[in-house]
Amino acid sequence: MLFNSLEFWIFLPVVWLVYFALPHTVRWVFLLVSSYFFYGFWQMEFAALMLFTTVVDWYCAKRLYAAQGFFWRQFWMWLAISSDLAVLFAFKYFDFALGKSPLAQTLYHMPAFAWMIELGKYVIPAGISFYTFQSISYVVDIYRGDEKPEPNVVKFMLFVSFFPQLVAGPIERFGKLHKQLFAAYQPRLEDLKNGGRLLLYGLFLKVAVADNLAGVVDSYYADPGAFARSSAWVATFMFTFQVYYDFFGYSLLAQGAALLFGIHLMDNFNKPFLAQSVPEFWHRWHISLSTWFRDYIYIPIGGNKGGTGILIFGVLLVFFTSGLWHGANATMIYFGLAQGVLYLFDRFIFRKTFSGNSVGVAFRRLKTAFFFMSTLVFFRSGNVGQSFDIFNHLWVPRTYCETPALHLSVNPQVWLFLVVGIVLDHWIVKERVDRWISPLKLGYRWFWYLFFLTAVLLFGGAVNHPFVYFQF
Amino acid sequence: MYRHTRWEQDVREFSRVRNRIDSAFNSGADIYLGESSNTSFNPWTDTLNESISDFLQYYFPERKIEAVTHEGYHPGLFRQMLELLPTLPKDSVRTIWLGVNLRTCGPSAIFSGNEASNQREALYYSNRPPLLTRIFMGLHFYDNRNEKERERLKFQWWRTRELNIREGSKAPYNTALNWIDAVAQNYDTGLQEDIKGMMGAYIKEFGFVLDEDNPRLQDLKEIVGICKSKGWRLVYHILPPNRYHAAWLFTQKNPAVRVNDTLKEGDLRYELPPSELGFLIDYNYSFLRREFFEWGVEVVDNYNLKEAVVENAAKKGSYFTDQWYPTEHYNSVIRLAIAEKLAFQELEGNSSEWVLRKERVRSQLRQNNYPNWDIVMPLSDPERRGYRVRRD
Repeated sequence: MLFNSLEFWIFLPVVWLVYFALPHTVRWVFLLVSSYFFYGFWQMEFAALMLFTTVVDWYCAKRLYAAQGFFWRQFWMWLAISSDLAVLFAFKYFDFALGKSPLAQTLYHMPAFAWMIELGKYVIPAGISFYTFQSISYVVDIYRGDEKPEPNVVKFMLFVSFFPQLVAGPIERFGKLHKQLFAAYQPRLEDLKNGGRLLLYGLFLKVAVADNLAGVVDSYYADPGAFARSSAWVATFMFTFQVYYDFFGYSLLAQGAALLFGIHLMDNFNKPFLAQSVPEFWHRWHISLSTWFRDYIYIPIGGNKGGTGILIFGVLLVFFTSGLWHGANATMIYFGLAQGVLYLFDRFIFRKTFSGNSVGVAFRRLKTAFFFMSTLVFFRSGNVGQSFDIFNHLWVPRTYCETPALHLSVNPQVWLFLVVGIVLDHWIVKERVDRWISPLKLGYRWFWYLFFLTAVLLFGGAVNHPFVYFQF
Repeated sequence: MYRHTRWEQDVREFSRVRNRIDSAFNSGADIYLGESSNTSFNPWTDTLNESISDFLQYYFPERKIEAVTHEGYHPGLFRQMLELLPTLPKDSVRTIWLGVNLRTCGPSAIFSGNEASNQREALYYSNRPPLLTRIFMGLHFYDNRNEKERERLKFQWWRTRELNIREGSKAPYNTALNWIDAVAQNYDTGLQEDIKGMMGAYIKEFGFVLDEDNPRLQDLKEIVGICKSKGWRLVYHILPPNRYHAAWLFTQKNPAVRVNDTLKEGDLRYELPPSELGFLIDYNYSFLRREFFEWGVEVVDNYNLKEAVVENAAKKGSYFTDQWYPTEHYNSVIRLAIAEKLAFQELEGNSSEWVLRKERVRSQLRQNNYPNWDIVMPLSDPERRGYRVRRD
């Protein structure tokens, strides 16, 4: 079930009403059932897969906690991690890595494996990377002694499957989310209002801004060679904001839905296009994933304290992994590595230039946004060859002997919503939207509510574009 | 407010035929429903630019015939359209002709990549409040599975549905997927790449067994019920596939399987390789005919139309627009022949009247011997353009 589907908007109020009608002691059970229904609504096999990961991690963490000695503690931790990564590999990376091998052909003709290969090839289980990472963080936290294991496997299932953040994060830590899921809570009007505001604004960003941009970007990427260079720039610029508003919108929807149940999820974005350097950008973009990589990969291998060589290795490893995490495609690896190189470039070479005055700040922000925008060509392209073709279109003038180029036609409403989104997000809304809109006067508040609602209902993108991060 | 501001624009933008449906259903006209067979032309060989429904109109100038046709349409969409039919008074007779092709019941068509946009368009085949339709569209409240999901379902069908349909069948492969793979691996002949591609295309389109649970068959059945309940006369006409020229091509290019050197092009003893595919097509056709008979619906059967079979084969397949993959895209010879058969049925077999009209129509036709560059080929489905035998 997607947040921008009608089914979800029927599901959410029904679950909310039933949840608060039940006694506190059984609410979490209902929330668990609802979360599995939410996930299985699309494909029941996916729910079974998540259940497998959950139970294995819960069991290994329990044994790990009880184990004596370094070997057994390591054993149980690595068993859980390998099992998680094996499932992830089978359903997300198998086709990329071995899809054309004789092994894949043989397995495909065996009924026991055929469905798995078909799923992996055509429909990657929704959010598998998100819940796998969340579950891994639980096991590692137990290993480090930061958390105690949950004795009840069913309660642990809710931590992994809590529906607002299940399919695209934010990737929450056990210590923060688990407590909230089982705390006694009575619905508060303020939470309801703020949750509603987040839901409305998130839907606006996704449906009215990102989906409308997607139409333009898709028409360019369907045949990039046919378009003029100016169109290549327009498409690249628009894709940058499509990805941002798509994922930012999703994160707000997740936060809003969770807030209705009294649960506070972390902010996943913090005005990334105001970042003055690539390292700062990654502190503001997809924060839950960046911090996950920091805590579970970068710091364990040495982080900033291991010397320059370790730092460079750590950064490149993190960005390589991050690229691979984003998708089973060589283009994603290029995207990750390009970001890694630019990160190091900014950190070691560009760090102190143009600092201080406002012109310098503006330049640094534009440069950072430009770096990100350029690497997104890899992110969007179907293959590496197409990426380089597009770079070619962006930078090399067309010759006169080429066929006349087309120009992207962009509907004025697309520009309108994009400009409104950018201005609101970067200049007007200083903090999170619910905190911004709450103190406004009644008239202004309702002006914005009606504006968002009209934009969603009457101008929402007609083509169904699933959330970009939904497939990860 | 929405109805008076953006509704008309949205209808034009997102529904290709909604306005046409309204005018056709409410104008007192008879209606021709169809897919690309009615709208496809061959810019090189077509000397007449009329569609099947245009020819039909020539036969019956005293009646108004409105066509609601578009490439990629299928009985599922027509069923939803026909829910909008007005109920006729008892003394009124209005006819709906609906072209039925066999491929529409197969997995390639059922799980076509165009289906999400078709289903989105079908939201407009309703009299619900316009704002609700816009909300449904914005929140994608229709079968909005994307191309990849449909591709998976298609492969699942090919992988799991059994093809063995006759006693002692020599069918070498029990599923379409095994069959496709075997073709890709050349099974027992050294097939040329283009022939492999063609075979793959035919197996993908026709390698299925029609049964009562087939969703398209159920749609056709429901259409019969809708028309009956609203007092409309319904005529299904079965469209001929481009099958025999492909069989000839296959045989010509593969001496290893040539059955008899004395056979000439156009001889129907040539069969699609292996003969089980031809058998399957015929089986599905017979099944469809039986179902139509049981439902009591009028049928015009053009499945073995001589212009599409013998004459086309004698003309090296040129009566069909497409030579290398299965379609029902005809040139004017077949389009006219189909219209003539429909007209014959319409005149209840009155041969003399039919001949008179036929002479009149044929004398009126003005041939155009120049390529018609205005014609846009309707091959919008990339699946059909880019057939490859291997799954990747």
